[in-house]
Amino acid sequence: MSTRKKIKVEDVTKVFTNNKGEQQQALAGVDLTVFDTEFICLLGASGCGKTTLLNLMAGFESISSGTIYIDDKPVGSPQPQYQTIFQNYGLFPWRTVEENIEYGLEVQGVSLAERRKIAANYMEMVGLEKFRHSHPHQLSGGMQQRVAIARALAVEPEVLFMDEPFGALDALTRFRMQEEITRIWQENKQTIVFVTHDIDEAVFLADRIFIMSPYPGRIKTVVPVPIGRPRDRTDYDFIKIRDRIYGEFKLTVKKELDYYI
Amino acid sequence: MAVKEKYFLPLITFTLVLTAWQAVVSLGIWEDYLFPSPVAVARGIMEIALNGMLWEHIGVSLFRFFTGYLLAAMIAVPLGLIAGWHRRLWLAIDPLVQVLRPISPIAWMPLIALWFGIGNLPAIVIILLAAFYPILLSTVAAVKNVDPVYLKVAQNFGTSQRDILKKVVVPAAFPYIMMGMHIALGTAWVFLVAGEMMGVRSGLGFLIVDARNSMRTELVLAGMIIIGALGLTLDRSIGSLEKLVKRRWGFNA
Ligand SMILES: Nc1ncnc2c1ncn2[C@@H]1O[C@H](COP(=O)(O)OP(=O)(O)OP(=O)(O)O)[C@@H](O)[C@H]1O
Ligand SMILES: [Mg+2]
Repeated sequence: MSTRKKIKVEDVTKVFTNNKGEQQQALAGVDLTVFDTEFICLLGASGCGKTTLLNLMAGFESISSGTIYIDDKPVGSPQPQYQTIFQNYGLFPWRTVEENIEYGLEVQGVSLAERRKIAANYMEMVGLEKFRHSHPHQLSGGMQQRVAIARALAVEPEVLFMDEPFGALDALTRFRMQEEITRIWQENKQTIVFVTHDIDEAVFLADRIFIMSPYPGRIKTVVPVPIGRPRDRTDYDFIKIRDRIYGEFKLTVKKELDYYI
Repeated sequence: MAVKEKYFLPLITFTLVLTAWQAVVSLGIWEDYLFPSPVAVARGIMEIALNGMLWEHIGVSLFRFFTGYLLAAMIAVPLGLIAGWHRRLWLAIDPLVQVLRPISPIAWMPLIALWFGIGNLPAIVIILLAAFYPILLSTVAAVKNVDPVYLKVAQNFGTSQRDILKKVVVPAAFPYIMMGMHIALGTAWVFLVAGEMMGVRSGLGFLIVDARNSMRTELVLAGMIIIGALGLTLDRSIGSLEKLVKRRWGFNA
């Protein structure tokens, strides 16, 4: 991990107005910095604004106040070099695995021969060579998410935004995908912002964990995870950090109770 | 078993209906020419099949039908794509479409006869009118219902507006457009007879009118049955095409 700042979120708020005209503050005064090639997790309960924050960073939503910089430039519309991977994969069902992976290259005007070569490389990276002519619906959820990852990687992004990408997978597949994304990140050196509400997943993946609290969403604590990789979920240090985070969440619960009494 | 049932049960229905029909005829309440027997109808079908008239009528009818239907698709699909994509355009033209849509193509017939004279054209225009609205409306709905995540992905990869339509919206909407084409086919087929009842001297609609004028009621019924059978065949054909597309797109249909 370098000390160069890749993403800077400065005092960002987000207010949604629903169709009745009521306003809801989804984020309040969020500050965070992500270093180049760093892997961070946004962790928090449902509704605390993780997706909102990710969408703001990726350029899918507009900021209400504050600024977000990536590579020292204010975030505008979504860019190919900053790729978002969605929980429901967003694969194009009418395209084969290979054609899905080639999509980004195709719109950039890369020649067919070159596209095939690059796609083959990434299909190998995610272990799907045998399925290049399959359609997404013929694959399991884990395989579909691999295709989505390969499609994003094919345009060599510098940043990956991932919104609960393994949320729909069973526990064992999820473990395997966590190992795989760690390996891919170590090989390719992207900056990764990964949203999850799974504490174990966050401790397994992240260099630093940003714990968020709701109503309105803000960053509550930042927990560094100074454990080497590959990580062992039964390791003493691993469990210590995980327990610390459990503690953080209990605190949140107590605070809320106090508030209501 | 299920496959056998699929053919066996309808067979029973047809047999029962034919038997009942023949039984009523045998009561002898009505004159033959008012209420022809199934045997007479079958003989009528044989007659026009053997002298070649039937195939000629079917040929022109199918030609008119598909010309009108495909013209409707060629106008309604692109229009629906554009109107579905540009929200404000659809807001502007939706009320007009909703006013025109309930007007039966039959109501247009006097004007169509005046404008297009006689020959193939009036029949083609009637079919076109009948097929147009279902295709247009389903295309608009298909575009509006494209999963936003596809659009986000396209945007993320820097897809141009033109490419988003071509590479994402059209293929994403395609199965639903097929559904609309399927519905439109059935709707338009119903108007075939109406389209061929004036200004032409060929086609299945003409066959029926002509047979009535010469009091050949068994040929009227023959024409009706053939229209029904062809309608079923066309519906099943486009139905299997639609199923194929849906399977390719990963729908569990
Ligand atoms: N488009 C929207 N319009 C109005 N309110 C919204 C919108 N999107 C999110 N919100 C609100 O903002 C808050 C944060 O939502 P967000 O989806 O970011 O939470 P999250 O942490 O991702 O939750 P989850 O874990 O359930 O995905 C919620 O209270 C939500 O109701
Ligand atoms: Mg979310």
